[in-house]
Amino acid sequence: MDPADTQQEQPIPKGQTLFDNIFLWAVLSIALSVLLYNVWGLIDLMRVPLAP
Amino acid sequence: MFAPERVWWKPIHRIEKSWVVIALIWSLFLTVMMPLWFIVGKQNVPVETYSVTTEQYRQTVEAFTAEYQVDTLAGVPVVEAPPGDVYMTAQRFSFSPILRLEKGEEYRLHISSLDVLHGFSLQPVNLNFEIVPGYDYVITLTPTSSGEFAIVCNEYCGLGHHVMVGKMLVTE
Repeated sequence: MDPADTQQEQPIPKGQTLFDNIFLWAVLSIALSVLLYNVWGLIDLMRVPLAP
Repeated sequence: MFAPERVWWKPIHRIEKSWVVIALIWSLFLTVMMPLWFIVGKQNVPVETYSVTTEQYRQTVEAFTAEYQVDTLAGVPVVEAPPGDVYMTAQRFSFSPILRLEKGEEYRLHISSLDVLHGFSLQPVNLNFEIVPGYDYVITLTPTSSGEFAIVCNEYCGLGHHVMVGKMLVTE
């Protein structure tokens, strides 16, 4: 049997579907960096107390 | 150029697995070392931060200088205060006042900027801090040797940045 035909029959593994989802990765990269840097940073700044 | 295979998700290769495990162990080691070294390492200075306006801070330092001034050096007031809270400002392009501290006593050194970001680099001890306008940075420190120490601005603050050098004195 032609190897190309075997490839066509195989279902796409879930891991591959996840890793191939480029828009998911684009959203995740922006969301995670905004949360971990900007949001966390703003929370830290808001927690600085006023001088006694 | 060849297109990738339709199904490229294959069982992980032994070498790739080793590579990922080694990188993971090293990352975990570095993550643990960050707080551990902060606790165990001796060069970590206790620090508190307070929010303050530049005008409030200017008035605090002026009152402190007026109360404890003992001398003047090259136009900069020299201040000798008892152990406890001592105050300094950074402003283009000088540090003021010159603090005269006593070796072995604990001080809460307050530092802030009246204009832009400055650096505070105590030489030759090489303690380095960022001075931010709008924030009073309180460093708890105990001088362990006497002499004259230079304070170098190590954050670019303008055309006179390269001559922004202050002084701190420690007596026996």
